[in-house]
Amino acid sequence: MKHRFFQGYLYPSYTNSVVTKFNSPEAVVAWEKFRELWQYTNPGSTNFSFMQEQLLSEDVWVAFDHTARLAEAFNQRPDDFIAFPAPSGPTGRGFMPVIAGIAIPRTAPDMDGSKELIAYMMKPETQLATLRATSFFPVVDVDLPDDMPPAVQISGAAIAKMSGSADANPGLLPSGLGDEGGKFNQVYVDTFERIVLAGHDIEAVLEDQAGTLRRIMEETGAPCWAPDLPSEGACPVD
Amino acid sequence: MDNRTLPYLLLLPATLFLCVFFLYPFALVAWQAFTNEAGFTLEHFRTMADHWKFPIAFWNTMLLALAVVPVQVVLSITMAMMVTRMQRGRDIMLYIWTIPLGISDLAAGIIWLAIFEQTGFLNSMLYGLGVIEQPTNFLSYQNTWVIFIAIALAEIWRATAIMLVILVAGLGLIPKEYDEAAEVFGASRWQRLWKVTLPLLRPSLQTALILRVILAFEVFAVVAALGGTSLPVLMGETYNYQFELQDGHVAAALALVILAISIAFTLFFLRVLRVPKGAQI
Repeated sequence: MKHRFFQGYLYPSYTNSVVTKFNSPEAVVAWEKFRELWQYTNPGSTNFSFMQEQLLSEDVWVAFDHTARLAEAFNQRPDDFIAFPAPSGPTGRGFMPVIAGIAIPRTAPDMDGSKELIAYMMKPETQLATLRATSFFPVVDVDLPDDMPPAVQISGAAIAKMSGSADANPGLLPSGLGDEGGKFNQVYVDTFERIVLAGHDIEAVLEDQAGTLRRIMEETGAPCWAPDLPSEGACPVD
Repeated sequence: MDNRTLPYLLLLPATLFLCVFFLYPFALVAWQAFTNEAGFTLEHFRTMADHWKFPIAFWNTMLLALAVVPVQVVLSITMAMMVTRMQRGRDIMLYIWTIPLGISDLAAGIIWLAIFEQTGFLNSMLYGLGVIEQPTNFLSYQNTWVIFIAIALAEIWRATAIMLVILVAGLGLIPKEYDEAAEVFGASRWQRLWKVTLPLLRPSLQTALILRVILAFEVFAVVAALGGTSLPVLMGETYNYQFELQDGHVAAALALVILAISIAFTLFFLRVLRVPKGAQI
């Protein structure tokens, strides 16, 4: 999930932007800091994916990942692990909440059935059952009962603290990119691999990758999303 | 049935199969690599070559083939000679040596990952012997040469047998008289190997090398298991473009590059190891 870390956490916390200020002095500071912090990570982490595995095998003691990918660690050893909010940077505490929208195609053959399905999916009981099974948190307002699995209780408390903090700076998931989503993510992963792993010059890499990013934004015409300011047409890359 | 048409009739199913499942997809891939909405373009090849990982992936693939194939040639010739000289237990030995062939390359990669990873057998062994104080991570991006060696070892272990099988068959075809005649004239073992056996083995060696080198340029699953993204190769980049980046055009361009390299090396071995007409057995 490292692309999400850069898009939703590193960039918003240092530049208050994801796309527009991709290649900016603030972004240079962000990457300098991240490169500095990288020396404390497990060098094998470039090939880790579900961090609950490495937490349980004690390859790492501190991990960043989606709550659903950490759940097993909390459920198996609830007394050994704690969850804490994402750190904050010069422009606030960047984090990436997911806003879900549900739609029915106008041409759907069974409109009433679709509406019933959506109503069922939005019911608090259904949302709680999903949460219990997958650690994906409810998208509707639900009071959490006390008998939730440890993973839900532990990560839920940290999420509440993070989103309620004074410097919270939520950034949305990339949108409007269509099937260019993979290439958009690749820009951030390439930037990371070149700067941090291969030790390339930060300014040169950002300049080069900004070209790729600009091309993707112009080709898809995707407008900006938070924390970038709304744009007319394609989100600009400075 | 007319004797002259029969061979063509017998070849027809295989030819049809090749046309439908090789030539047609090949034409589609070539079309995809050279066109966009506007028509003919070299844009996809430019995208491919401009990506910072392309030269790295290209040279990694080449160096891997260069490191693996010569070792396999020497090993498989030695093993083939040993097997042919055996009086008893020859078949059992061959079966044992070809076991890795029956294992999928991904499984082979995972087996070697179990040896080299931080919680793997190598670490436990070194730790048990007191050589290291704590488990080390051998397969990290910081020392890609260790990943390179691990992949080379896994490939040598996995795919030497395919050359061995071809060479054992080839050795069986060489009449014993040549070797005996050379011995009578006082040639040493070494001389007989270089001057008699290897030249006569040339056709099998050619087949084995072509097959092995083509497979070496397609190396993928072993690299994915042992190196992840730390050691990019051409096939891995092709996969990445097709499935992660959803760009079939650039993936097709990469596939054509791999094909071009394979054809170049096939022609090279056909030329270098050709047997003159008069010298064929």
